[in-house]
Amino acid sequence: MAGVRGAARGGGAGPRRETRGWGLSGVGESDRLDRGGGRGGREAAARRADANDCRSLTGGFDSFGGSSYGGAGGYTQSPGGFGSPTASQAEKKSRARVQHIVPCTISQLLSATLTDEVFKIGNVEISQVTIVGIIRNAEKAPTNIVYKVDDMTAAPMDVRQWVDTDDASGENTVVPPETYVKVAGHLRSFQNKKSLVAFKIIPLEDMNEFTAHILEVVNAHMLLSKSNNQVSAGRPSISNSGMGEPGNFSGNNFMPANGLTVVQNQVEELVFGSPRFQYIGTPIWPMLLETTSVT
Amino acid sequence: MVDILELPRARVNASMLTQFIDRPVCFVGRLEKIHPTGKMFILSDGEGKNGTIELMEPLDEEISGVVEVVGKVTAKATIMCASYIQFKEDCARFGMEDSTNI
Repeated sequence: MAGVRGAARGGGAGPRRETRGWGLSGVGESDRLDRGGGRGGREAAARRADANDCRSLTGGFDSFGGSSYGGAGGYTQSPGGFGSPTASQAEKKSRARVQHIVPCTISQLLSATLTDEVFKIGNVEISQVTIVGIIRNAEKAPTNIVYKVDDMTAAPMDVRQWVDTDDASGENTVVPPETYVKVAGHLRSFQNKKSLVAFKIIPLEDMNEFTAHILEVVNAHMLLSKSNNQVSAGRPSISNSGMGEPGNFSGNNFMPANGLTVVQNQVEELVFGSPRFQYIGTPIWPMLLETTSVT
Repeated sequence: MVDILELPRARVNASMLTQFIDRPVCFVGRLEKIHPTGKMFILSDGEGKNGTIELMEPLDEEISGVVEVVGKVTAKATIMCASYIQFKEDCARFGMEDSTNI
């Protein structure tokens, strides 16, 4: 328990480390998240649990270090976390916005509206997204590679990946066309044309990940739009048997008694907490799909 | 005709083919049989039902395993294939029945 809480508040102490743990490790690295490096490993495991657990209650897509402000970056209520009291107005504004990394389909991205530099799908704000699709085309330029990724829901979308010109980087290898990949990146719009700037593109190793992505898309959007619609950001339809810790979901919704937000509390409960939501340690998606396949 | 790869394609299985006549679809199945002419082959979907895929030109390579076909459904509830890809062999345990019933 103390570990997660300490990590959330210790964002000011090690912002760089947080960023590497969240922003760049992306969504697709199934076996590289368990770095075993204490805090990084545990939180990463929590996030993977959320992403894989079909009972995932938060939607599992909160990137705690989405901006470069460390673990407490997205949450205004964390007391004394930032360590930078002279934050400018713009920084405060982006910290105030909760950053999610949301699984989407390309047709959802194309239908997203742009108002005040904020993309919205329905009433779900999006910035960082993941998509899964097949590469139809790859164009290599000196500084970047532009792929056309197709997930069958709409026309292929342009995905730009900046290339590190340093020769030692392993990112220079182009992913061949007709490969299924998972892309994590930022949504951009230029002259009314949407595209993605990817920070991670990895080929899928197991097609079950594709099925899981489709389900995560539905799950995430339903949960996020429900939590935006309702005043209470808890889990009203899922946890019927009373709330675990007092003060989490009643009354003031965005500042529970222990200093963590609702979502952070959910993660904590998932990883360390009540037996209702025990995270055993291996992603359960493959096990679920095995038992449901008919032979 | 607009390139079918630019249109949204629904993922279907064999029992849904009759509802998608004349529409672009994506069909994933395990190869069961290739017609001797090479212009037609049969895939079995996650439920075990068969879907027939027709090609404009005969196949020029040997295909096997799980194949994903993009094409348009004909009036006879077969698919006129515009493009196909084969999934790698190590993805053999792919739970196909889960991806179309969403």
